[in-house]
Amino acid sequence: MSRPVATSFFSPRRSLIIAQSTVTQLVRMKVFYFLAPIALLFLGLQFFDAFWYEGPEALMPEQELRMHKNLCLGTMMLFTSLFAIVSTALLIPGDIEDRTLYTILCKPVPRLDYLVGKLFGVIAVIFIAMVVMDVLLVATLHFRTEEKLIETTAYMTKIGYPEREIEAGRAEISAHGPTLLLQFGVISHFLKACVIAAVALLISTFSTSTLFTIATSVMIWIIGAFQSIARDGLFNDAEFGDVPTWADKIVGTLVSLIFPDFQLFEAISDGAARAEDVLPADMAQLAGLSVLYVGIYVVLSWFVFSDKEF
Amino acid sequence: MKRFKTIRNLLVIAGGLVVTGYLRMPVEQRFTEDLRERKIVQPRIESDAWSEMGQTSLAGTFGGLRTVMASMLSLNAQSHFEENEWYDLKKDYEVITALDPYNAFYWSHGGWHIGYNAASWARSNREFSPARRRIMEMDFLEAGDEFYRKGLKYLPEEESLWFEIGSMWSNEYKRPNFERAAEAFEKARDSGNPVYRRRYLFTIARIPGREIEAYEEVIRLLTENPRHLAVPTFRCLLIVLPTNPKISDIEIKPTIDGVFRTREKAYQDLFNYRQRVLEEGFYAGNIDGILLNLIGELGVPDELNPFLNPSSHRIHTEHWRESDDQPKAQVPDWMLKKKEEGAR
Amino acid sequence: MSDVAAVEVKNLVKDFKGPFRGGKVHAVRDVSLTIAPGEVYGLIGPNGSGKSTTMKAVLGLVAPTSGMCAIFGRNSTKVDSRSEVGFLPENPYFYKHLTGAETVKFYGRLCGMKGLELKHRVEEMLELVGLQDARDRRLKGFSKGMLQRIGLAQALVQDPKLVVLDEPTAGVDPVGSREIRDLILELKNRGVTVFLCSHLLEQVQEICDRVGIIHQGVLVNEGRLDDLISLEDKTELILENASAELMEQIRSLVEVTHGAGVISEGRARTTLESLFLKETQSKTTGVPTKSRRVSK
Repeated sequence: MSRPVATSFFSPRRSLIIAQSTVTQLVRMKVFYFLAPIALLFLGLQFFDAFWYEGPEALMPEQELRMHKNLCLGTMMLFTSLFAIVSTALLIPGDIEDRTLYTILCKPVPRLDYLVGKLFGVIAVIFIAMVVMDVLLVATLHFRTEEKLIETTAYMTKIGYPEREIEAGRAEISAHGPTLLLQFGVISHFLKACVIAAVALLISTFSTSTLFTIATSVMIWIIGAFQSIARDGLFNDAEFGDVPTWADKIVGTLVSLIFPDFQLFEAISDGAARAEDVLPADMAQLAGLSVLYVGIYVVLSWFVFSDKEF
Repeated sequence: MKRFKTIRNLLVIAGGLVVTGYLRMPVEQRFTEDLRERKIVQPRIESDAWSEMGQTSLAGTFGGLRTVMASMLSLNAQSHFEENEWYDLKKDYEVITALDPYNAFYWSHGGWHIGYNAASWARSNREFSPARRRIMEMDFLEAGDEFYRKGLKYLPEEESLWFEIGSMWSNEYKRPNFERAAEAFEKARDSGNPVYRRRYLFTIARIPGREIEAYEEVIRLLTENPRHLAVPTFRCLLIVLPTNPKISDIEIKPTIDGVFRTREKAYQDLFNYRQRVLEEGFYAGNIDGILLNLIGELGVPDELNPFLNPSSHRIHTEHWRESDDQPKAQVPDWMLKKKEEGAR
Repeated sequence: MSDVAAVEVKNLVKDFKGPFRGGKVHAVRDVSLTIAPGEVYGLIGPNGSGKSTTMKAVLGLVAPTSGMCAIFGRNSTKVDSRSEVGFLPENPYFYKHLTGAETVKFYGRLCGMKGLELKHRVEEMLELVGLQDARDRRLKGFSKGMLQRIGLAQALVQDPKLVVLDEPTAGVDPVGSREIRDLILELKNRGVTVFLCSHLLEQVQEICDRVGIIHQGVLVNEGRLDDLISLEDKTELILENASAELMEQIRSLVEVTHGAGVISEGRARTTLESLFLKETQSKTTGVPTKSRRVSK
């Protein structure tokens, strides 16, 4: 029998094993069934026409496509964020309650491996769900865009627009279709879900109940949407109004330092949905910040978890 | 011991977040400002908009669903339009544009509802006295104007909003104010859009005392882009504006033959232009003189002579286009007869 | 045999926060014990005496308030110390979504095993604990005894040098209990050190080499089993087919010997467990005797 090698500080392989087990656990808990109503919503949007917007009030095709994207991306964001919070919040306390954790930690498994494995298991499930939703989004948006292109071309030809203007109109509609830019929006929501999962992981390491973990994580998710306002107040005094009080500054500082800025993720997603120029450099920066956030939360989680007694 | 550990852990967590916060904050702020400059980050919601928001919108804002809430609210706002609930609709659009201010569609649509539909409703609502209707109509027009301008603060590059302000103030079925319309069209024309440029020209051509400016503008447009000649009113202004006695030393004096393809076409366009002079206040110049000359030259029948048979009808032809690849216009019979006789 | 103790506990003290403000619960008070490699050590005591806490301290699940625990010379708080340890907790729970085979495989992988070696080992362990038929059944459908057995399988999957068992036969029927006992003896024969806690004193008596008795956090007694339970001044004599005359002669001899006396006399007794096993196994038809094969 080959003897295992000396246990290193961190083993990606061991973390992967725990991640795989987490994925199996979540899949066998039938979490992907939640994708069914989402799929129905996406498909329903495909056939949804703002029928009351007809004649002169008719929605421009770009606006229709934009609405489609906004609703789909918003749904994806809600699902992945809530899933990240709930599943992470349930995992560690569940293992402690079931004492499954004892048998794992009695093997040569550093606690960091365990934490990272759990987190990446949740992230893997979110990723799979995102891929499925993305495929649905791209498919429904593609068909919707094609429909709008045909309608608009026919209309403009009937009116007698010159060919180049028809082409320009088509290009404008296509820009709101399933482009690479849209994927930036999807990726930004995925990154946000990863950060939220890491937040929930940190809280679950010192929380005494799952409910507390979920409630606190949701609060952080909400506050994160406004963190940039507090930060703006520090960098731009005028944002606070006439004279920021000491209390304003202290609260603003604490909020900016402690809470993550989720507005950046939403902004990139909104920009992508509006077909604004979101650059690969922006995505790289966002990914870098996400890695930083996840890293911080994992390290702090490890600090708390490392001397936790069971 | 356990309590000490808990406190220690919380302090370490807080300390770790604070330290890393100091490191990441400047990076995030720079990133945010860059995105804000490029209008990717939404601006903060203004305080008055907060108070207008319902619970659902608020919840959506907290959850980072601003654009989604804006989409849903815009669909909902339609019901206020159908019920003529203009104040509720205005509030809705204020919330919608607060949630998604970088979407020109909402500013355009909201302004249209307020400045056009609400104003029209006020004008035609017999429930109120005429004086009251006038006041309400003006209130809605001003509110529409304000709404568009607010949108322009967020989207200064969106010239279409200036165009809509100009259209609103130049609409002959409302309370036209061509000075305000011209001001708006002047801003819109900076985009270079030929439609916007022509609308500016047409508007200042309706303002007494600005004929010289209008003439300079028409020549400028012609020089920059002869395709403007495709538009009948443009062609007519080219002929009519130089008849202003204040315009002298004209270097380029357009002629009927140079501007219109045929004299018959010239008559058709100028006849219709004269109607616009009478109905919409376009610059008249010596339009009557020009038409009389053409009537004599072409032998125009009495029913098409505006001096003998004044009416509000226009001379229409089907499929009339200026470019060669378009189908030829269907010339009226009387014009065809003249041509045949001429050919013989 | 190596000089390094399999388990060494030195002056272990473990306090927990008490129910009242500022109060403490002294779960373990200055416990010291040593388990030599290849020994079977039983730690017994009433509920709440500190057995589990001691065990957890040895396994690194709790940090000592003071004192030290080591496994084969490595500090228990270090992860490395667990590479040679298999642990079966009391009332073991495992991931219910995994099947029997997946569970053993999961723990094997955590110990660094992989490939064919792991695959064969999983089959071996399932056969060892008699769960081949349940290999593809999810643990949520397992009975208590089956869970105990799968717990043993995962504890042994990496062929550890030290096995820590917390109430290994709790809730297990006598047949299973006997099998576990036999397994422990087999492990002992292979030189594996076993550290177990149990309330079932008879079983502890059968299998342990050394025993420690812990009460209110204090190790009140410890030593070789034979030394602990033998009554110095009493001798037991079991005779087979002894006649009444022989018995009379023995009684007379004792009476004339100064200081000696007959304390009790009667028929030797078997144990209820042996009787149970005898009765149940003889009445079971078609069940082949399990062959146990533990390979290195």
